Amino acid sequence: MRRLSALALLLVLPALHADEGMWTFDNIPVQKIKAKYGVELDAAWLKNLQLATVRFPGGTGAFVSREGLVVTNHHVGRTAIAQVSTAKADLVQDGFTARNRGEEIKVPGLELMMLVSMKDVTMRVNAAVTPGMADKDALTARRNALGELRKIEEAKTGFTCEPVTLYQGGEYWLYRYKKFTDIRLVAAPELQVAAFGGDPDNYTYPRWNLDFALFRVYENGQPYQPEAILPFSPKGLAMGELTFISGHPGTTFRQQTHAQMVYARDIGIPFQLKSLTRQKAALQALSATSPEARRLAADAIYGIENGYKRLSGQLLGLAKAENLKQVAEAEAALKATVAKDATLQSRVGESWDRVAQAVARQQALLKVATFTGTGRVALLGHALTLVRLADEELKPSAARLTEFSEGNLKATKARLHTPRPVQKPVDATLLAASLQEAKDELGAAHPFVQAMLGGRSPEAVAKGAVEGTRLEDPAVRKQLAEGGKAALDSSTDPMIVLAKQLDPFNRAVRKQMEDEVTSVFSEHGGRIAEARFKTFGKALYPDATFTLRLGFGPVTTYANGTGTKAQPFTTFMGLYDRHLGWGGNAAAAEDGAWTLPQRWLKRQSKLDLTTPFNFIYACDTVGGNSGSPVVNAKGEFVGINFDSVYEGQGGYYVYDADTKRAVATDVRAILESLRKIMDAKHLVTELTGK
Amino acid sequence: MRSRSLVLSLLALASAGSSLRAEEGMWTFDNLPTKKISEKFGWAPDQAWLDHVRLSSLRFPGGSGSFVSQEGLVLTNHHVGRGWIQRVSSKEADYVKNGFAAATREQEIKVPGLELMTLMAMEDITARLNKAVKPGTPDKEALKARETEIEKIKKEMQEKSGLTCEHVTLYQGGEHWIYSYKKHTDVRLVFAPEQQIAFFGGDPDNFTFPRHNLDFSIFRVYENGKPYQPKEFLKWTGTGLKAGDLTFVTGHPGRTNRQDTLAQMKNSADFAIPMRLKAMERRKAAMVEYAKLSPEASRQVNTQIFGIENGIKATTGYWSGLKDMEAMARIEAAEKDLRAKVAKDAALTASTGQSWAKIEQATKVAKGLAKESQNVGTAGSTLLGYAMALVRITAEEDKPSEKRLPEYSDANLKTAKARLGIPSPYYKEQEIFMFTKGLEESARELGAQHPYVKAMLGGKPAAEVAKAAVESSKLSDPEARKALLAGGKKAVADSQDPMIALAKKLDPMTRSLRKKQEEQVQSVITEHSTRIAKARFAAYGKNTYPDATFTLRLSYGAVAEYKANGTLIQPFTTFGGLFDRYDSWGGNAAKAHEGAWTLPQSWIDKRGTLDASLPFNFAHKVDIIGGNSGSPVIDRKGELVGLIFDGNIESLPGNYFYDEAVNRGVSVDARAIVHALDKVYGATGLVAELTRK
Repeated sequence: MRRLSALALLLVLPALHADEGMWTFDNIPVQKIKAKYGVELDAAWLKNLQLATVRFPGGTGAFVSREGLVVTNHHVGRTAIAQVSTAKADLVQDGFTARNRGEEIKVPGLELMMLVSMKDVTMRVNAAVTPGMADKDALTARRNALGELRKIEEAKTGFTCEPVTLYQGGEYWLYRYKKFTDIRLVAAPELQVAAFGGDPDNYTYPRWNLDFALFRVYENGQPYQPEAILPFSPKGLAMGELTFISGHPGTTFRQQTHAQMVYARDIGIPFQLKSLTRQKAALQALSATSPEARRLAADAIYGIENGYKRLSGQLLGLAKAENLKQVAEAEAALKATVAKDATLQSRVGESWDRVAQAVARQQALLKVATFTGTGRVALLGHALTLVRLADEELKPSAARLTEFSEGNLKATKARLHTPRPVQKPVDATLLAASLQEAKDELGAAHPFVQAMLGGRSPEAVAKGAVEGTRLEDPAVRKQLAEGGKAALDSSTDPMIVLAKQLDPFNRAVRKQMEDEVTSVFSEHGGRIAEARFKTFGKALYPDATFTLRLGFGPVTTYANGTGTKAQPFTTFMGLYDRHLGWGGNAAAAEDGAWTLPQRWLKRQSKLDLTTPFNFIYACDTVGGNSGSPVVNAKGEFVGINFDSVYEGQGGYYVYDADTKRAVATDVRAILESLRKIMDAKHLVTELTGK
Repeated sequence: MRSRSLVLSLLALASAGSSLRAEEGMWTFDNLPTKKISEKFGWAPDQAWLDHVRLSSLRFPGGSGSFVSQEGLVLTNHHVGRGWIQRVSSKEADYVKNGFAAATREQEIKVPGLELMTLMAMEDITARLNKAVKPGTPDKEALKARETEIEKIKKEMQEKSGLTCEHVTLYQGGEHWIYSYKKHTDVRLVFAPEQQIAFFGGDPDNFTFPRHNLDFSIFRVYENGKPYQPKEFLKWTGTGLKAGDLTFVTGHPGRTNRQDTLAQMKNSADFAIPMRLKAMERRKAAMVEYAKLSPEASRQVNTQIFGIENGIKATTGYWSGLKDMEAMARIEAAEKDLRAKVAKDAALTASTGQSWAKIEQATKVAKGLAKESQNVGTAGSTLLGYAMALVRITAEEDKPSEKRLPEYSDANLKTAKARLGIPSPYYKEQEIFMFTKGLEESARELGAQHPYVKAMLGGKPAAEVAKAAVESSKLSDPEARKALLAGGKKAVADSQDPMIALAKKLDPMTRSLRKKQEEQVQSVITEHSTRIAKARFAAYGKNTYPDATFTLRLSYGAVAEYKANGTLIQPFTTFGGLFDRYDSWGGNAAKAHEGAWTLPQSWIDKRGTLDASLPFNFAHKVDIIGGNSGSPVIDRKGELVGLIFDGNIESLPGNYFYDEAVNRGVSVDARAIVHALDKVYGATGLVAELTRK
């Protein structure tokens, strides 16, 4: 692959911020870290961290003892903990400590993955493409080559191999994982202290979340002895100290064009925020009608508020002028570089304009695309799935809507058959609000609005459909799903009838979106990425791909939303301050967000209240990093990542050193709690050797 | 938070909309919304309750306080008392830094110059004043006629009651009152905690919440050498507050600009505030530079630096309100509504139709004068300030009262003269440093050719002028000032003191500037604001409260959380939270951010004896602003439950509008004061006196 001269690179390389980057383990900026922090990472250190880190479904964890103990977040392990709970023993609510190995509870189906090694197969994948091949054929050739290589590799190594595309196609890798399938629950605190502060405190700081759980990996019925572990640091961190995080950041949008980010800032996110505000207002009106309505609506309101918090945090980042200026400058520099190279220019020169045109189409389709969806209305979602399932299952996989493809069908059916209860008053409220919004935004004369309302008011339509439907019953849904097309065609369930009205509109706009917007983003976004990779190579890090990455940055403050500087640490003392500041368990303010489990009150006097609880640090993280181990320069475990502050959510688009702060549970808080509250001194001994 | 704004700018004025928000309002004691309070809280104060809290309340210079014991103990904020604690401190005994506790009455330290005021009576003189101005009198003459009449009334009343009478303009001139005060002049320092716990979190935490400030100090009023026995005082609570409890605050909010016209607000946003902030930043830079010279220099100016930083943060917060597009749209709509009502009424149109335009015009004139107004003055020199007062008092005192500058009228002359005789700490190096900086700043802003700059510098460098004038002047000695004052006009004319010489050059310049301000700006704004205020009464009735005027007001509202920082902010903090914040910043060892979150040794030593679960500070929905500092927080029993010391960052736009969702007062919990006095300071005598046990 051709690279520009070093000089050209210096001229146009976008300035990375001090602690920016989610770096792949083959390309850690060791020189930069050494220059800035005087810490030299060697190959053994990196290999140890890589092997000690494990992937959970949707998150991360780490080996922390020779006997296979794995630490992750409580919220990463929560599904597993719920799975092994029973009607008599609610381990999520009450917490759990296995007194001995015999009491450790196996979690059926839970699989962890350890990244053993990575193999660069770029050359071989690209070799599958012959000169003159059309783009579409080239894509297929690459995909086939990767698939073939994966099979060969798996057969050869016995590892689970996953193809990984980095730099939007600049590099192709096979990541080889060792898979663990016997995972047992060892210890978990009560949910109320793991997620202390509940939804209100989510994405914020100062924080007091004991967000950890311990599992143990077994192999052949014996505790697994991992090649690498992260020993618990007895000392923990100090303010200003450098930290590293290894984990699986899920998705970032940092390679979007300036036009796409401006759209997100000016149109996309404000539109979503406005819509969320309307939904929230509708639910608050429902809430005000009775205490029971309040209880039912609480979850949905919090869901909306959290979405609002995340999006408004993203907007904060995009709205900060310096951030988009930096994006614009980097883009201009890349364009200039492309213009100097005839081959690149002919392939990529027009791509920015093409993306911008697609953005204009995206904007034109935004309202219809939004309102013809099912939004947060669970019953309408189920109905639409049922309406489509019958049709789609008859088609070959490639011709189906993506959620019904062979690969996705299982998950779609699982969602349809979830036993999760539906709150009818909430659904009726949200459906009415959404129809009203469609009417206001699209106009009463719009064919979709006319089809859905049929001359009636949004409230009447919503009330009729929700009250008349029986789809809240999972058994009814199952029956309809199994009844196939005939059952659907003859169904008079009013929600099914409504979904049938919605279906063609939704299909039409989806197709338009795919043809005019997403395919252009994918094709031309890919070409821009190619140009970027050809220009800068691996001086940059790739967008997040839910594969193993390393971040670094010190424990440090930021200007938080109360008008002062956020303290780098919190302590046990602060946990009780926030508990009592809200009137404690007696007041149970905000649905008990700041209440504490009984034993945390009874045993308070045993605790060393000066022990650090949570801390903030400047590592570059996004969703997927939950449960990631935080380690010090010695490679010791000093904390577990569990959140990042809402002000830094703009990091999905642009890294901003002023606001990007991740939040972790301090290792000392874990040890103190295990010792003094959770009756787990034996685990402390295992973790610390003491 | 702190006192009234440093410079009272000229702008003030006409009320918008008619619909008040639930806990909105800084109410005068003659016009409490009792019906509204009662509807919301099922209880409202009666006259006896109101008299009790009014007579228990005190005005401090720049702040508020209250009587809290039978034997004349007075509670206020540490930051309100701080300047006075500083005044009785010395290099050897730094009571600001180290705190102070009088073990016996004899150890209580008299504070020279400190005067506290109790509001004894209020009289509405609006009708009488209106009679003094004939309809059709030009603005300028009307202003003078009103001033003359006011001075006359004040003098009459002062002679009759023996009280100190002050003229109070409410509703931008919609009402005029005389407030009569009992003045307490023998005030002694009894107790002050260390600065570092009073102002824990320093400038970063200032104007924020959750907070952990033990921001109180205690003085005692004496009369005839004996502890004064106030008629009313606030009993210390035996129970304390919980979330949702109703609280009242009585105090002296300094200044709000909620009735400014839209044009005035726009001028503030685009011009006046940025200009003020720039000047404050420069003044701070000068102080900080001086403080770096030595620990002693730092001690001398720390209180002033605190004041400026506080002002910068507050002004930036006010400014943020003016940048709030939604709020500004509401204000604009309210103004439109009133103007529409005025337009529909022939009489109102005749009197007020042009008033908004007139005020806008005057605002433009003020803008043109702003640079000179800001830079032609005493240039940061205390001595030149004394000299100006001497030159002016001796020139004015021979004139009839109504012809004098108002600050030297009969009613004010005695105080003005007395002020010159009060000894206060003086540091020559600081004086030279600040005067030099001030002169340099004026020269830079006005240009070398400006008459003021030429007159002050005479072509010489600022440092040379400042050094020569300061070193040869005798005015730092109160006796020298008294002698000149006693010698009158002639003594001042003959004086060779270089500061007097500079003051003689400065006097005509500032007089002429002031005249322009009065004639082209102040009189127009006063007159037309009054007209708008009257139009407002006509349109909406008197169902609202006047802008803050540093006179006694009552605010009310519940202890309540609010949304901020992405979550809900807890209504209370605890002693545990104090130590959480301390430890989390690495404690005294780390001294993070210039030691903002360090603790005095006494708190480290006594940490183990404290009950971490006791409340420390709390947030409540009361409408307050700078000047309310030190106000007692009172429950419905009329007992003291807390002490206002700040507002949250979201309260600062309250200078222009009130937002009940997020505007909160921040107070020290009464329980924290007693617990600290008992456990940290062992001040058992004081605890007994306060809790009557």
